[in-house]
Amino acid sequence: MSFCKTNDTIKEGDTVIIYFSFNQLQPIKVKRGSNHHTKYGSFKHADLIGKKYGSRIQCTQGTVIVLQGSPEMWTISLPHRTQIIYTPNISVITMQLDLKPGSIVIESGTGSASLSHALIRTIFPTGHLHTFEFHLQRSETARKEFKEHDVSDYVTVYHRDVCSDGFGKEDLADAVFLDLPSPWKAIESAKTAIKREGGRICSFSPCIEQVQKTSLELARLGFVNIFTVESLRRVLSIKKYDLPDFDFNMDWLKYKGNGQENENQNDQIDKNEEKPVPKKIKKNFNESDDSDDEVDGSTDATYTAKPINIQPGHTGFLTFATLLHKDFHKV
Amino acid sequence: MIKEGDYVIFKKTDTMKIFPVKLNKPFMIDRFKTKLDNLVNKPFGYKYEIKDQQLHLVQNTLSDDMNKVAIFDKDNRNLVDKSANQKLSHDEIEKLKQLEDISGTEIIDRLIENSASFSQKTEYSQEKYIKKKKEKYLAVFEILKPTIRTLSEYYILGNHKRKVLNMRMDTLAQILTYSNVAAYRNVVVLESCKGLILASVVERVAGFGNVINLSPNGSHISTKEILDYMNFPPEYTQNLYNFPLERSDKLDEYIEELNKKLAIATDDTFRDKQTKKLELAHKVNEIFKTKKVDCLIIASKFRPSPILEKLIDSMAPNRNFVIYSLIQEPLIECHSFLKRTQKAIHIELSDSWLREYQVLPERTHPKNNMDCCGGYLLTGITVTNE
Ligand SMILES: C[S@@+](CC[C@H](N)C(=O)[O-])C[C@H]1O[C@@H](n2cnc3c(N)ncnc32)[C@H](O)[C@@H]1O
Repeated sequence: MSFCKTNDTIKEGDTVIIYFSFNQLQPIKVKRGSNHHTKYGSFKHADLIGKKYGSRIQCTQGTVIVLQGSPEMWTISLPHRTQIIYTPNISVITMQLDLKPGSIVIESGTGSASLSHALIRTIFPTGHLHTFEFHLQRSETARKEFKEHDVSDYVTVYHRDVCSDGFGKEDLADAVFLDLPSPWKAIESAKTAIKREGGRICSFSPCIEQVQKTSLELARLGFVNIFTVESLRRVLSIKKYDLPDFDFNMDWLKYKGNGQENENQNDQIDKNEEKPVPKKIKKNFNESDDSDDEVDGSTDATYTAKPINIQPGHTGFLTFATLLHKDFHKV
Repeated sequence: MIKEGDYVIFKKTDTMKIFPVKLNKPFMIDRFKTKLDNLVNKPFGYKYEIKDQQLHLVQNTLSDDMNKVAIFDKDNRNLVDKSANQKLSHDEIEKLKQLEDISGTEIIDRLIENSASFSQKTEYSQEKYIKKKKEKYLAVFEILKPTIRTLSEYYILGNHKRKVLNMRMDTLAQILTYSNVAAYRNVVVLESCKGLILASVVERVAGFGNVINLSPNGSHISTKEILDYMNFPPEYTQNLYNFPLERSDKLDEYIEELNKKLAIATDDTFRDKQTKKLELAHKVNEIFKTKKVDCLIIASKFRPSPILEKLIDSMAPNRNFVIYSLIQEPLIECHSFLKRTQKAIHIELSDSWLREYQVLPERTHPKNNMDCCGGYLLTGITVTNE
């Protein structure tokens, strides 16, 4: 099974995602003879083989859903070796680098290969990703994962320090992506690596000081249309609401308290959200536990949406620029 | 390199215009007359200046802005009301612009001469003033290649937002990743964005899969605009099928109807037309009936939930759908339907936020304005209850 493709049935050796709820996912490699233990009890790997992706799997004490490994699912379930880039930024990077099947992309560092998988999916089957990482073990793990995920035809992993040694490529890439502590040190070599007809570059940095240095270096080297954006995705949960009417005719003097001690509706909404893990153990994968949403299917209720309380407010700045056709550069 | 027949985007600071490259066809852009002949075999992305009714490549100069640190040696305590500073009246400036032989640079010089406040400005704001005037009066344009990236900018910048349902770049980018569109997929698209989404999908599938474009009456007109601008190679569009949305839930009936028509057809062109329609219907039927739809994208002006209800059963399990709407309520409806029927998991309603920055030495800050209307997405993964 390849992470790039869509697959129907589970086969031995596949990396699958065991899905408990929207924030509890676990990747496992299917191996006949093994057992997998979850909070709903255990299941035999052999039971997965031949099943359809997207099916419910019976564990000894409940059910879970088994999904195929895909770049987006991998990003939210992979073992973190570094900070990673998440799907909202990956989306903007992919679009702004003009990626499509056939694109040749250079990336550094490989890190936990969250971005790499998404890049490969977009540029395969005719494109190629060259990914550079100076941490030996990370580069080896990434190479092993690409093999396991059956995407290694479309990617080459290099163990190399791109800031001191460069990419060692010339007139090759349509796009270069940098996620490095000192990206400005790799831009000159990135320029050499970009195709003669020009291409796009992106650098991701958490700090504005990095952005300033990167932008200056891009300008110095003749890149144009340099611009920096921040992009965030905000998830909203769906809430049922039913506010009590205030009773103007009630004798509030006689009423104990002021009627507000049962938190008002807003508090109630927030309270609901803060109990993502119900006390009693759920026995089954349950649609209503798959998110903070409150939906019971009744059609006469009034629903609204409200952002989940705490969400990423900053991930990093994305700086993009264009390198124009090299043959027309001023000498 | 630019070829005859390509479309090119003319860009100045805050305007973008699209033209097809035709030879020996003069036309007006802003107040300048030009032909596009000179662009052929020249690179995209460079700035070109109109001189003698032809476009000439302007060598790329380093961005000076970047290399100047702000010097706050003057302040603006003596600067007064804006319009009074320019001694030339609006009419005088307009007259100046009409002069046949005046160059943009000369106009700018006159404006500076007649500006009372220019000399009082800080060096940085003097430059900013000149830069702004240059952009307005010089016949210099960036010539861009129409790509999904530049086109989504074109529609937002050029006040054509409504044509593309306000589709902002980051939202479109998310639609493409959350739907898992790529090579070897069968993608179903229903959109009212002039083809912006359809073209993005066609590009990401690149001829390696099938793209079914659903629209009322199967008309391609509403999505043709951006496909034309993209000027795809034929292998990209050979597997693009325009199919009537209203037939997508009664394919058997439709096929029967076409067969009947074909049986009584006497005229050759009519028969050809029906045969083509029938082939298309069989193709779509095969994908829908066998649940072979891999990605479903809905971003249309119609209420999405009834459409989702019809289309979702054509999807294989463990596949991704994305529905876009400028407002939340239509998506909440879809959400209720999906939860009730347990047809999907990992259903998320989201919006997004995109902020641009000015990055200059000592002068880095977020841009003053931002597009706050990126719409909402409902994303999810189909499952099977078998
Ligand atoms: C934040 S991580 C990249 C995460 C990756 N984008 C992802 O989504 O999983 C940065 C990586 O760059 C690597 N790195 C830092 N400096 C480097 C250099 N000079 N050459 C190559 N790799 C480098 C680090 O070892 C680290 O693994």
